[in-house]
Amino acid sequence: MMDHVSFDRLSAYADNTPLSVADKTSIERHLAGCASCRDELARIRKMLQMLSSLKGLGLVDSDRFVRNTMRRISDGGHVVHRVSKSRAVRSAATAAVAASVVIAGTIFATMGGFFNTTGPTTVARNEDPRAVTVPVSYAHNRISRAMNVFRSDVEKDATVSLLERHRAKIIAVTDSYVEGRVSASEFNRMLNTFYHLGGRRPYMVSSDMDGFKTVRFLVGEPAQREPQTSVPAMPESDIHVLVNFHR
Amino acid sequence: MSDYSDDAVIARVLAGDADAFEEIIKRYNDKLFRYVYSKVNNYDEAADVTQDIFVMAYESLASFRGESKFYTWLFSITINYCKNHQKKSRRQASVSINRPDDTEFEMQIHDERVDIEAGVIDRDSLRIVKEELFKLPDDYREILVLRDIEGYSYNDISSMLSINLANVKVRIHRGREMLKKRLSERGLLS
Repeated sequence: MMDHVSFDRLSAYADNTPLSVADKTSIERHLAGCASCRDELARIRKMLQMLSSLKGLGLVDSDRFVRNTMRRISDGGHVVHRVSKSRAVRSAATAAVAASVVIAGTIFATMGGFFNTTGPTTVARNEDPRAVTVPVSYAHNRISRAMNVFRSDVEKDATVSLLERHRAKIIAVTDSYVEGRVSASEFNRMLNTFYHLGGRRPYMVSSDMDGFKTVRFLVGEPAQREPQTSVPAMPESDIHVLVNFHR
Repeated sequence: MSDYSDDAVIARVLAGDADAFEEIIKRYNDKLFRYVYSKVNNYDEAADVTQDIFVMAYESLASFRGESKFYTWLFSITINYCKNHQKKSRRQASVSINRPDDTEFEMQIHDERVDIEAGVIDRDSLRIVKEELFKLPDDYREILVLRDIEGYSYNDISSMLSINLANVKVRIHRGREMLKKRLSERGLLS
């Protein structure tokens, strides 16, 4: 009894996957004498044709999508649109977050924005006697969340891997954060890769006197990093932290 | 700009011409959207996620070093983003008893493209294919979208999904086998 061509081989043959000459010849020789396999091949080809037709699925208003996405990019990443069908119900929390973003933005603008390179340094010693640590402000954390800086999850391993790639010494890996100590030069290189990890920036940076920095990334459950609905009052000293933190 | 290669457009963006990124969005919005939609099965959510991905791609463009094709890099970002998004959605699903099917999406097939195919495949058949494709296990659905809808090569898919070539082939053929069985049962491949 003649063995039929396996589905895998017919599937490969149907979509013109490169096959060895011998394999291709063998399949074609079999097909020439086997109606059952020819039918099966025809079914596969019809299915592939139908799948290909699903390319017709797409955005309803592509031009609007492009415009809105560019607008969002130029606005710094805030959601400014719905592409087509607006969702009927928006949660009050979403509106509150949007409000907090505006508040946060205002505070940022007042303070000179993310990339202000000047500003006083507020320092405090940590357990390392050589270290001068920039305190992490509660307000900054909240603002970062409201600004959706921690936009996506990054696995703990990826964060450790990032630090290791920059020759950091891993200090702590917990359920909520990964902390490492890295040289200032490597830290600057690492700045360029933060976005690659989902738009995250380090949660905490301390500048040590020996030219090293301690960085901490949040890696907890996203639920723990949901944007806050309000921005607490920010002590003046924390404003200094914020300016320092970003450069 | 439409004549430029992806790499040339990216070079312009990186040189400071941020508006050039619009060309990238135009080229890939439908492709990314279809992939994302196959993951979330909700039009609005897919559109939002697709936009998130473009914003992220723009912001991380400096990390694209041209060692791979741009679209494999873009899809790698997309695939990872969707994985994280799905994890988050699954957690949220525990408080959402049921999400209504996105029944409107079938109406959003581009009319002109349907016309092209009208002589071959009717709209009902497309709806059934979409339904059955979406019932496949995630790994198989994903790879059929990349191969049989978007037409990416086995090698490209291997890079995008970070799996070896043999695994790509196995998944494609298994996915097709499953889908063929389902479509036969629905009377489309008799």
